[in-house]
Amino acid sequence: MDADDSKLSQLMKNRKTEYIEDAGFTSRVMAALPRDRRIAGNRRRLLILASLLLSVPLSLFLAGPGFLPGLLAQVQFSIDRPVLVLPGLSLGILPVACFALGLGVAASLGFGLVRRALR
Amino acid sequence: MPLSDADLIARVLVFFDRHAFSELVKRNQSSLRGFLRGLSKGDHALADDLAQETLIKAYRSLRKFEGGSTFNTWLLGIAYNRFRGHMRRNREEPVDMSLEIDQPTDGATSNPRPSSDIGQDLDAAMATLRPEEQTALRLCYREGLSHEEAAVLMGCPLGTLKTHILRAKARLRSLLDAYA
Repeated sequence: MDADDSKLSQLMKNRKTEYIEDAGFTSRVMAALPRDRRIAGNRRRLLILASLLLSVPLSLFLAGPGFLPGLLAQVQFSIDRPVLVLPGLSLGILPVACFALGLGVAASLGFGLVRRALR
Repeated sequence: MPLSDADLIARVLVFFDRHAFSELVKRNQSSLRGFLRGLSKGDHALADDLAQETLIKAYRSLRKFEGGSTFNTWLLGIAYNRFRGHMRRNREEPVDMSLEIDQPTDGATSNPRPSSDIGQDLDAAMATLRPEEQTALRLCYREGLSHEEAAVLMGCPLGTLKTHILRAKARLRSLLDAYA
């Protein structure tokens, strides 16, 4: 029994498995691999930036035609005190800024969800 | 001088080098596909599909590879779990009968015809074993893992793994004796 067992164990250890030719298997695996995370991360950042750049003019447009000239007219810039001051507009600009930011984030999230659904 | 598997894995992790992973696939595809062909009883299409799933899973979880075993052995552990998952989904997995007496797993292949080559006889006899028995033998004898390591890789208790090995060897012995 022990001799048989040892012989069987030796046989299993020494048995070489037959080599299976690749025949395009590696290419199929590589094509099916998920996209590089680093590239995906860069694309996401670019997408958010582009969304923000597009959403700012859009939100200004939606705020009304007189908003931007009014805003520029009220900007005061003093050489003595080089700080941009927007009297009376410090709170007024907030909803617009939030809207722009929200649009950008929503666009990037929406795009991500659509991509995931299509995958 | 060719890079070792560990070097290639490091290149994938640090530089996101897909060519390095491609090299790893080329090196290990034969062993992995052969293992899965054995488990799937010669269903090459299923074996290749599972091998592909295994490699994609390995790529995604490469950071979890701790180097405690060879990369190939790690792949076999993933492949075995993918195979079990597939069988569960398709409700084909045989119930674990480790406490029952030896029974052939498949009437059609329980006593394959002997050939002139003992190695081929062994392969044919191995094909009649249950997946968990094949895997246990493969990991412990061909891959050289200890029983403890194989049990961890297969996700089963040590006692269960030893039972698989004992039953598999008894079955192999009876089949190979029958050929002699």
